[in-house]
This record gives sequence, C-alpha cells and structure tokens, in this order.
Amino acid sequence: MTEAQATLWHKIETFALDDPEAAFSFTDRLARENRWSLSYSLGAVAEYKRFIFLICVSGRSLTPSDQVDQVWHLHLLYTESYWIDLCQNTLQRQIHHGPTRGGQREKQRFNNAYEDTLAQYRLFFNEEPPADFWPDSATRFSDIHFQRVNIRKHWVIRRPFNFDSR
Amino acid sequence: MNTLASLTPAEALFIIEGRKANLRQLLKLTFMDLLLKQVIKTTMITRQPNERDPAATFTYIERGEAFGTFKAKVHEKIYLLPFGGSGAQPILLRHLVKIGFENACDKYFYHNLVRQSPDLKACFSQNLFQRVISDYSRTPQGTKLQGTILVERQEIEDSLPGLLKNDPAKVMAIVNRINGNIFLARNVELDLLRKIDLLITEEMRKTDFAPSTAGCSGCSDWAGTDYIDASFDGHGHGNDGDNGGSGCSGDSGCSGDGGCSGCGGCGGD
Repeated sequence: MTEAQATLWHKIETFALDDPEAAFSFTDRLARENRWSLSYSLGAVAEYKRFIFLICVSGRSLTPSDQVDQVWHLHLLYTESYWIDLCQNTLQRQIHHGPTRGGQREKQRFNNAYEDTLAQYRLFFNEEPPADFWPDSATRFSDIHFQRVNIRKHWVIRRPFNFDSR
Repeated sequence: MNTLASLTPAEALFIIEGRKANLRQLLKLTFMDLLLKQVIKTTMITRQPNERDPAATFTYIERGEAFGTFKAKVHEKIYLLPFGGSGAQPILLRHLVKIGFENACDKYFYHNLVRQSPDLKACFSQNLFQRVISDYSRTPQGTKLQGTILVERQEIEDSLPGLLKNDPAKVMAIVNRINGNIFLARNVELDLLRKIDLLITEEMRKTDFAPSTAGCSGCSDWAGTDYIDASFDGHGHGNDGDNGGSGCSGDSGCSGDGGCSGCGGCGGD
C-alpha cells in the first residue's frame, strides 16, 4: 500500500456506518434482515469496507461476495450516508452499484470479476480473504437462492438434503 | 480469598446459586471481570457519523493490554470472539453487550458453558437420566466449594466498609486480586465498578426496546431465545428460497426497508 492508499484505507476503516445514538443501528438492521448474528454482521461490514477500498485503489470493476453485497445493498438504502458521507466526503468519488443484466456473457464477466476481486484482496491486504465472507467462485454464484419470506406467515424449514444439484 | 482469586465471578456465582444463577448477572460479571483484567478496555471515541449532526463522544470497547496473552475460558469467549483475528477495530459498547447475549444464547446454554469450566468439573455430576433431561447435581466437592466461597464473600463484605474509609489502597489490592469477584459482595460501593454496572444495565435496557420496523419480525431480544438460532458465533444464513438470480434494482430508488437479496452478480467501479 502506498501512503495515499493507507490514508484512504484509514478513512474508510474508521467510517461510521452505525449512528452510535440510534437505538436500531445499521448493523442491527443488517443482522435482522439477514438473520445473521451481530458478530457476523460486524464482520460483514468490515469486509464491505475492504471491498470499497479495493474498488477505489484497483481501478477495476470488482464484484463482491453475496455477504458483502448485502451490506452494500443496505448501505445504498441509507442514501445520505452512502452518497454524501461515504462517496462525496470520504472517497471523493462515486461508486455505483451495477446489477447483472443476465445471460451467459454477464455470468462469465462477473465470475471473472469476482476472481479478480479475491486476487486484489490478497494483493492489497496481504492475507487470504476469509472464507466465511468470501467463498470460492463456485459457491459464490450458486448459493444465491434467496427470497424475502414473511416469517409471521410461513415456516422456513431446512431441506434435509439438496434436491436440486444445479 | 484464595478461592475467589482462582475463579471467574461467573463460576463463583454459579457455584453459589446453581441453576438459579441469573443470566444477566452472570454476563455482567463476566464483562466487568474482563475489563478489570484488562483483556478488553473502554475507549471514548468522538464520532460525527454525518455532517448534519454534531459530533459526540461514545463508549467503545477494544482489545486491552492483556488480550494477547489471556487464556479465556469458554464462557468468557462470548465477548472476545469479535476481537479475534484481524478484529482490532473498537466495537460500540452496546453492540458488544448484545453480542455477549447472542453468544450466550440462553440461561441454560450459558450455565452449561460455565459448568464445563475445568475448575468446576468436579463440582457437578450427571447420571444417565439427568443427561437426557439436561439436569445435574452438585457433588460434595461442589458443596464444599460453595461453602468456601460464601465465607470468602462474607469476609469481603465485612471488611470493605472499614477499608474504604481507612485504607483505600488495600481495597484496590483486593480488586486487583479477585477482579470481577468484587461484585459478588453485596455492599460494594466502588465508583468505577458501579459506573460500569450502570452502563451495562442501561445498554441492556436500551436494546431491550429496540424498535421493530413495519414488515419485519423476529426482532432481537436480550433473552434472545426465540430469535437466535445460530449458536455460539454461528452465522445463521437465512432462507432457502428457490428463485435467485436477477436481484437488485440498481439505483432507481426502491422503497420499503427490505433491501434486495439473492443477487446473482453485481459490480462496482
């Protein structure tokens, strides 16, 4: 990391997504909406910050893991925090979120971008991306079958084994 | 006070009260004990999350001086797991207290963690039937240890008022020796310890009443027995729907508070 990159990383790392005065903070919401523990959610937020840093310093189009993406999605809902406090005041640049347009070519593009993200992670942070937040590509693009479920009206029961081998 | 000096306050309280030991009390004692042992420490950080609000100072917890060398017992790890690995960032006090409750799961689970401590193993026994119903009995050794702890606690309670008036240095020596076990005494009036106690109690209360927004359920709760299905640092990845793929709606500005999920790939540049 150059000095400028280290300075940027410090600014991103200390960026506060949580309003300490909020009774129900960003991370509380992240935990609840994903049914993650608070501990895991804090870890996901830390990895999201690393991802944002990598976008800034790599000069490439990068793809997050699904876990990191969930943090990103939620942060995008906090529009003032995301666009003004993070992008404008902290990064001094805009980072747009671009969903897939579908199709085989996009699939390949995002697969490559994810591999590249993992490589950039190793390069800049000099460590292996933690597997519980950054799974391998095959898992990343197969474990995506999530939907919103109203748990007041539905039971969610884990399948005893995977019927669908796709 | 040799016995108290060799036990954590959660172990001591569990020996005294057995299955009646209160979960909040056990967790508070453990938290304060880790603070006093300097495994974790409080730090005040001034934050201005956004330019629209004034900056304010908040209590965070971070690794203490003893973190690297401390050999934590299982029931102490509930507060220390977030600081493992590269987790060196300070955590809001309120969040760490909540993480402790999440990891403790519930009273019975936490009791088991405390009971499995190597220092207490000989104090409780289980026959086959008790194993089935998750019950246990106190052994004669456990009863003896309970008596010893009660005597030591009484000694502290009897001597503290006088020492506080005449020999504060000795009080600090006692605290340094038995750490969080000082809280077992029912007449402790040390400002620092009382302040920490109040702080944690207040944090617990606040989170107890965290608002639940419309359209969402399964809100967090301090007791946590309904909500927390992922035990001890489990991740509890959620639902298993059957139609992933397209996912997010980009920057067109969706409403509601559910966010997007199941994205098959998105990027940023």
